[in-house]
Amino acid sequence: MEIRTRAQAIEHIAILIEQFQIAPKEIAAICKSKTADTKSALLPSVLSYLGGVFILCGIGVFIAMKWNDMNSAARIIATLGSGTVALILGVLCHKDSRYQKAVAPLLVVAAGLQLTGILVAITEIWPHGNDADLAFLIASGVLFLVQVLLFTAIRRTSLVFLMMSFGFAWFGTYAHRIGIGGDLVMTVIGTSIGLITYHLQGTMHRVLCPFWYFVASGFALYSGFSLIDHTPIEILYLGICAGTIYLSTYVRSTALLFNGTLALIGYLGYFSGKHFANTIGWPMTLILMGLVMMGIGSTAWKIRNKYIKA
Amino acid sequence: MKKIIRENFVLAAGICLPLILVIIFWLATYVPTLFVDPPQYDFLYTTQNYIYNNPDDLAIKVDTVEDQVRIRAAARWSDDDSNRYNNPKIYRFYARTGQSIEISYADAITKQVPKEYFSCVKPSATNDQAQAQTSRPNATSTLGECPNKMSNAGNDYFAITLPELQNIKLYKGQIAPDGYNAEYGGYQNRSIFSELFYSSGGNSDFRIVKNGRSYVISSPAPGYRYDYGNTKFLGWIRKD
Repeated sequence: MEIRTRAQAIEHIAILIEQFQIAPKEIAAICKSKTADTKSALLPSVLSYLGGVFILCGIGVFIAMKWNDMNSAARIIATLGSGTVALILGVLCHKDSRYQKAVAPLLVVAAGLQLTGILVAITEIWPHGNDADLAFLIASGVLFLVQVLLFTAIRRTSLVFLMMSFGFAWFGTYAHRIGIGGDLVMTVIGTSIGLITYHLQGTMHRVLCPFWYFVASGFALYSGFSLIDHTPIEILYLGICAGTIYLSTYVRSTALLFNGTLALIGYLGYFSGKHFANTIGWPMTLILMGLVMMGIGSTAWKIRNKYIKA
Repeated sequence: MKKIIRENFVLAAGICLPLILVIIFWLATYVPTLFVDPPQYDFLYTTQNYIYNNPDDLAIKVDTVEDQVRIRAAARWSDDDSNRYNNPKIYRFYARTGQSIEISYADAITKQVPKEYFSCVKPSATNDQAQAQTSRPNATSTLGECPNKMSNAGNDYFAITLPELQNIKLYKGQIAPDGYNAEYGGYQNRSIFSELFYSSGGNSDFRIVKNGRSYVISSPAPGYRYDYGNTKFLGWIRKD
């Protein structure tokens, strides 16, 4: 049985309870101990994260202060070297069950440092290159391949996130470089991310879905509007917004619902301002828009509770 | 393989979508090259870094009179940095190579503008001294000492002749005899088709187009963008 929604998960739990004759008391005891664990671990976790941020900021500020005194090799080692060390640490932590929580932050920090490091290396080796697009293509391409190779060995969700980030960053830069229009590229990237995220919903990486649905719908709705704005088919944008809201109920995504609703309200505001502000007057248009926002907001909330959270 | 794709159809579609866009784009730019000849005629154009100043303040004016390019220089042409930076630059686009090469006029101005005008605005020979002169807030006040008074706009400009442009005659209009049209792509409303069929590097580009075959005129200087209004097409160069 493929579990995609909360309702399906509850149904599955009910089957398991019946199958293995589990008493409600046993489940309640597990839940209670888990909640207690989480509460007691919250403060140390927050302090640990803060400590980590402080250390990282300190190292960053130190490198920035000494940047002008460093030679090329030192600059590359400080950035790319640190990134590589963080990556190795991430892989080592993955192998040790005690440090599982450190893996994702280490891999993400490693990716950020390596990206900076490769760009620094390119700038130091070719100081008069003057081709930022090509430098970013090389950096994101290399890092995409690194994440893919790593993912074949380590099936971590953070690697899926990084693969998607670098892959689409590479494609966006390449499309810009060969001269495809920005809005069209953003629409395609948005749609593509949406499709991949839909696939992720049925996998162990579903935790990424809210974020990527938000990005996908944001890209597609923003650039889609730019593509059809001031054209005879502009009114179809209402259909696109409505389609996004319907899609949010199908894939059960609050992020999609949020962006779809926001785009719908935004377009209605734009349309009213363009066509009615000079006929029925701006104050009346504002009142009308207020009523529309209340109506759409309340409907969106009902949709969320009835079709997404259920 | 087929089974994997069938089972993960949505994932495959998501990955293939960007690839399909690139393939369609390549086809859209490559197919017209099979049926449309490359451009045959060179053309002249000017670029400017800023367009905010009043055109009357420009130290260099470039325009066309009938079928020839006219360049006029104000005696104060290099008086201050902002004006010098704002001066239009003249380029010739070579159809054969697809490159634009600047036609410089600095030497011609020095040689052809009467010396007495320079004496009132460029008293120093060295760069440092010139810098000191231009950094003075009221540097232009020396213009009042010039012959003919610099405020008399009609008398302030001198026609300059450049050897590179002396024998060049231009066609009228934006369309060359071979059918190529010089287009400026800044701030246009674009349809989904123009996004696909016109290669562009954003909202501001300058290109020549004929029946779907398009050549983007590459930036003449690092970092220069063909922004709204800063590029002026002068004309296609006659071959006869």
